[in-house]
Parts: sequence; C-alpha cells; structure tokens
Amino acid sequence: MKCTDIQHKFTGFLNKSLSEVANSEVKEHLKSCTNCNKELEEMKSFLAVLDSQEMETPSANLRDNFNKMLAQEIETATPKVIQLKPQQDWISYLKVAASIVIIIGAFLFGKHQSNITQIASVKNENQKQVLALLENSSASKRILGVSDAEEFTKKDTKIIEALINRLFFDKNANVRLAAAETLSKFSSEIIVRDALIKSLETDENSSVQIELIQILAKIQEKRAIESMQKLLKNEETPLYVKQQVELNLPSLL
Amino acid sequence: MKKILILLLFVTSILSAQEKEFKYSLSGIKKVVLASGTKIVLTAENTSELVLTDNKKVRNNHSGHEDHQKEKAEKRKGLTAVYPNGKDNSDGFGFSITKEGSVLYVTDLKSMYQRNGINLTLPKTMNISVNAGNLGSVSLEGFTGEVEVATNVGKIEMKNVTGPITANTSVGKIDIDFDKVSQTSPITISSSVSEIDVAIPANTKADLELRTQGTVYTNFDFDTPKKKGLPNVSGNKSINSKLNNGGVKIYIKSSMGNIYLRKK
Repeated sequence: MKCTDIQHKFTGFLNKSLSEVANSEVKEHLKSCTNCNKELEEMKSFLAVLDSQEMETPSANLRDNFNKMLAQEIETATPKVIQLKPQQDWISYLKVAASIVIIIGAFLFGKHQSNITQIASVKNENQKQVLALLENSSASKRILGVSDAEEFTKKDTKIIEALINRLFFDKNANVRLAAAETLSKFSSEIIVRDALIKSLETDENSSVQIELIQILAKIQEKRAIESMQKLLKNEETPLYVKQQVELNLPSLL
Repeated sequence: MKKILILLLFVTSILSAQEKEFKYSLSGIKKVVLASGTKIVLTAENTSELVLTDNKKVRNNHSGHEDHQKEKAEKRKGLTAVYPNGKDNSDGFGFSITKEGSVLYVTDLKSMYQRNGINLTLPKTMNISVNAGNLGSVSLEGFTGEVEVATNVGKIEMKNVTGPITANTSVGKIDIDFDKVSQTSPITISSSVSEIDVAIPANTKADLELRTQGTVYTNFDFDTPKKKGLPNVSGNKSINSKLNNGGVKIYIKSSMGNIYLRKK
C-alpha cells in the first residue's frame, strides 16, 4: 500500500465516510508512517480552518433597501393615466389629415414606381430591339444588332446568349466575325470563353478563325492551346491561318 | 426602206447572237439569294424580272461539232436531268428556284465543272445575297439595294453600288466602288489575306474602322487620335476615324492584305 493511495483516502477518513476495511487500512498505515501522519495533521488543521470560518450573512438592511427600490421602480414604470376631454373635432381633423397624407403618399409612391418601370421598360425595349435586329434577314442589320449589343452589361444573359447563337449559327461570316469581336468584350464570362473556344474548333471560315485565334490569345485563354494545335495538324487548314496560330500560340504557352 | 431593212437585219442578228435565256418574274420578291460555284456576273436593270443566261463553253469549231451536239440532243429527248440537291425548275438551266415568303432562292444544281460563268439581270433595287462557293467569283454593277457576297478564292468586284454591303472572302481580291454610301446600316468588308480596295465619294459621312497587319493607303485626311503609352497588340491594330463628322459604320478588315481607301 503506497503512501499516495493512503493519502487519497484522507478526506474520506476524516469525514468518516470510508468503508470499514479502508478505514482500518489507513489506521494501520498511520501507525508506521510518519510522513503520512504529517500529511494528515496538515489536512486536519486546514479543514479545521474551513470549519471555523463563519458564513457571511447579508445585513438586514439589504432586503429593506431592495424592497424600497422595487417600489420606486414600479411607481415610475406605471403610465400616468390622464383623462382627456372628448374632442370630436380634433379626431375628425386627424382623420382627414391622415387620409390626405395617405393619398399624397400613394401618389408619390406610384410616380416613383412608374419611373422605375419606365426605366426598366426602356431597357427592355432596347433589348427587344437588339434581339430583333439579331434575327433580321439582312446581314448588315444583324451586324448593326451585334454592334448595338456592346452597350449591354455582362449581366444581360439574354443578349450574350443571342450573340453566342450568332457566333455559332449565323450563315454570314461577317456577322460571325462581328459577334466574336463583341463577345471578346465580355470575355470575363465563362460561357463566352467556352463559346469562343468551341467556335474556333467548328468554324470553317478562315477570316473568322483568324479573328478567334487573335481574340483567344489576347484574353489569354490557355484552354485554346489544344484546339489551336489541332488546327496546325489539320491538313485542310490554310497556310495563312496556321501562320496566325504560330504567331499567337507562343503568347499562351 | 433600205434603212429599215438594215435595222431589221441588225436586230435579227442581235437576237440570233443572244444565248438562250431564262426569265422569272420577281413580283413580291424583296431578296434574291443566289448560290453557284462559277463566275457570277450580276447586272442591274430597270426590270421586274430575273433574267438568267449561261456562258457556254468556248467551242472548238472543228468539223463534226454540230453533229456531235445534235447527237447529244437526240439522246436527251424525252428525258430530264435530275440532280442530287434539288429539282431543276429553270427549263434545263440546271437551277432550282424556290420562293419562301419574299425571298427567292436560286441555287445552282450543276457542278462548277459544267459551268463557264453565268449572267443574271436583276432589278436595280433588289436586295441580293450571293455565295460563290469555293472557286466562284462575283462581279456586280449598279445595285442600290443591300448586297451580301461571300467567296473563298474568287475575287469580288462591285461597281456603282450604294450599300449596305457585307462582303467576305478568304483570298480573293475585293474591289468596291461606291456611287454613294447608304447611311441605313453598317458596311463590312472582310478578307483573310487579300488586299481590299474601296472607293467612296469625298463627302461620305462615316465612322471608319480599318484593321489589318498590312498597310492602309488612303488619300483621305485621317485624324487618327494618338494613343500614348499603349502597346501595339499584334493583329488588333485598328485605325478609327470619322469622315465628315461621322455617320454609318464602315468596317474593313484584312488580317494580312493591304487596304486601299480612295476618295472619289
């Protein structure tokens, strides 16, 4: 039996909460071990100090003071009830005034709203016009639509999609060329970059190919390297297109 | 009497010298879309119909040629030519002609090897769209409507046109001479490597944009704004300038070829 084990049991021993067996063990050990005796004495004196400390009790004044304060608080918190003389006139004036305020407010709000919708409708009108131009049967008009589309923001996905549509499917090479140029201004959009790469792989018109090669190099689209190398390998690619690839490819590598 | 006779003779000789032609009324048609891979010549007339004539192959007039032709005609008797991509409805000219709304599609069914150039006469104000395929070339004169032309290696020539013009070629030369420049919608002329030669009247109002890695030659006075401290990016060097305080957009682009812009 180690001293430490015995010392652990001291608190129980002093409280007389140990089992019979443990109690006799501690007593047995204490007979032979001076060190543990010392420990026990120290603990005893310490516990005695604790026992001798009186519990602090709050003074009787505390409760009285608290009750006084509470009563004061209650008094200030309750609303004062003032009897009003019934003034029929005043209330009806108030009603009229309120209704006028409501009407004017509604009018102003409506005006403001209609302003907003007007601005929105002008924008919508412009967008519709451009989208209609992009579908026009005349190539020159479609090009006009493409260059008008530059004024729209990146957020206008309808316009961007319509431009991508032109880039992929327009029969006229000049329209596709213009679409590519306008789209390059929206090159921060991922769908635009994807469209430009795809278009480079599919478009067979050399003018459009050259334009796309230059754009992709300018916007530093590294994913286009593969399709450019395909163009170089393809036997049907005209020499002057390959030249453009060779000019622009190094800037991507 | 003598005079009349001479005149009659003259007229008949002209008539007999003319090739067989095919006519088609263009009432209600606003645009003609033509596709053929040969040398295409379009002329503007004050008519309301399309007139199509074929340049026959230059014949070597060796003896027996006539007989040979006759024999061929004999063989064809009672048979009609059929083509893989459409029905010939131009009395044996080998064109398919279809109407869709106000657009007339005139599509060559014969291969370019059987053609030696075709000539079309169309109303002056007609809108025209021509695709000359791989080896065909286009030359036209006097049209005031909108003209769209696409070729690959063939040249594009336009005289006395007003635009709007949309022209594209890969390697064919482009030569366009404007009578005046329509302000309605943009004029775009693009090519991959060939030179582009454009002449416009001195008083033309336009916003010019010229892009090439070749050289631009002109006798217009350009007020090109000096861009200080901007590096030249390859292939994107463009000259932007307003002519007579600006107007319709004229966009000319060749990636390699020189651009010639002439004042008339």
